[in-house]
Amino acid sequence: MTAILPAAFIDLAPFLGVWGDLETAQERYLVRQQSRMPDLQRFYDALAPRLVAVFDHLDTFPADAPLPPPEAALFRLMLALGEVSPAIEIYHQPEVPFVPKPHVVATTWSDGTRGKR
Amino acid sequence: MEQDLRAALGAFDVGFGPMLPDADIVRTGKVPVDAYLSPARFAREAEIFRHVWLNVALDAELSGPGDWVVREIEAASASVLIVRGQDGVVRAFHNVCSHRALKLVWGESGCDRQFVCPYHAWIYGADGSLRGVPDRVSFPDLDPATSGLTPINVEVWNGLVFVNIDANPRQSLREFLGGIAPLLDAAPIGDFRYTARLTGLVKSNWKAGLDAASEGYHVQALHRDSARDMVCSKTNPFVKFMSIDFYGAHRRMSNPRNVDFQLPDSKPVTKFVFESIPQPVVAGEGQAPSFDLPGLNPTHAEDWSNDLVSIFPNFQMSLALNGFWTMHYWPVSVDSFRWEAHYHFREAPKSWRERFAMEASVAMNRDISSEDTACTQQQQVAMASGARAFVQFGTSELLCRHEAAVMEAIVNRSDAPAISVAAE
Repeated sequence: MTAILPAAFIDLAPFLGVWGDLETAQERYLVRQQSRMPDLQRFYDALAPRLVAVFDHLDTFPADAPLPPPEAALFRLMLALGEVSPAIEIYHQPEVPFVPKPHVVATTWSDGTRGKR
Repeated sequence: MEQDLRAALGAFDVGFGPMLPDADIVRTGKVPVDAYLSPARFAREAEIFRHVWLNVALDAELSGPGDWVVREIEAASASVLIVRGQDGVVRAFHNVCSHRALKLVWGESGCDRQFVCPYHAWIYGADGSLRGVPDRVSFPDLDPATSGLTPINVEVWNGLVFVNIDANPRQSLREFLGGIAPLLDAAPIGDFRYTARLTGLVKSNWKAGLDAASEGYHVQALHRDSARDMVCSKTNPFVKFMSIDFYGAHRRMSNPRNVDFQLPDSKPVTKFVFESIPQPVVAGEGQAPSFDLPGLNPTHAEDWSNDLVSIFPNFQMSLALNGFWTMHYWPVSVDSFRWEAHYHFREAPKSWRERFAMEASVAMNRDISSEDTACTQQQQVAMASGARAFVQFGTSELLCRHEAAVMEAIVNRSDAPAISVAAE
């Protein structure tokens, strides 16, 4: 475990091992594809009900400056939730049906904040 | 429909002289499966990519002096380095060192005053000129004036960067765009400065990918788990286009949405995402359109979702209520293409909530596009069986007909390179 979380969200720490260090959409997408559905469901069930509370907290920080390490780790967990949610809410399986695995899609953002190494 | 069919039969010129789309394909919708399978046919199509204008980037990707991107055009075996010089001018070059013809820049984007070849460190300026050669005395015959980077013709049209690999382009970009240029002129493309770029390899013919992006008929079936409820309405369940125009080889088509769509509470994350930011792809309610342009949504339909602007040969731009997205289908081989998508948001996220929502929105749209590419990969395998001699596009798939009819006319032109038997 390389990062801790803000105090109010410390109970989410068990998920940092799988999702906490993933920086790019491509990495998160690959981990989602490799995951088992019960694990994705557990992750989703723990994080989805906290969405509003998490962003009420994160949005006390400016959006155009780096977050403190605990908040940054929490945000990475939420990005992973965004990646996992189609598996739970739409497809009911880890990968998009009949997409051969591993499905590699490179994703870069114009501000270079994510997706580039 | 007869009026639309007749419009689809109009002449076009993409640099090979005036031509007519293949009338049989426009009228019947029947396209030989061979067009998706034949290596010789693919070679002829790839050759077209060496002569026409191709959209490769946005001006916004090169916002400051020294900003550069590298774009691969596999069909033309070309790696293109596009760079804004210190003088503000956008230039394009073959991404090839003059010393040993090595790929010069190995990255995808950056900002630099000069480019240094990884092999022996020859140095080029952002204007393509040769600036330095280590151990210069070993090259007594080197002519620096002719040893700069090989230029590629580049033109910027209202924020869209086009290149033409042909050393002597047969048309200006303005001539190439023809009647669709005013639509591009009016689009406030430069207002959307926050962009996600996605790219991945798909194992099917590039035209199958383009087909899937050219009709809404498949949404009710293929996208039943994802996009169907947002797009398919009671009044237009098969997502028929509301209007269509043809501008030579290019097209514009208005697409509908389901105005009755409401996000179910059973999908709380999706709902949070949609409530946090205006969605570029599927519209929310009550938002003023970003693209209120003459020529778009000409029927003033209330259930308008977006106008698809389809630029020959492989570029599609969808101007929607809250943003725009583009798709490129880059031919790689007869049975593979590189899918490239850009999702454009009006401005950078103002909060972490918005940043999350943009990321999640792009992931969802990537998944929906993956439903398409999973489908075309199955299609490619099935086509190869020889079970069917042709595909048949319906009248609501008129854009697919036109794309196929234009391509058919060009590959069959009288000065097309002969198909060699060996290539089969």
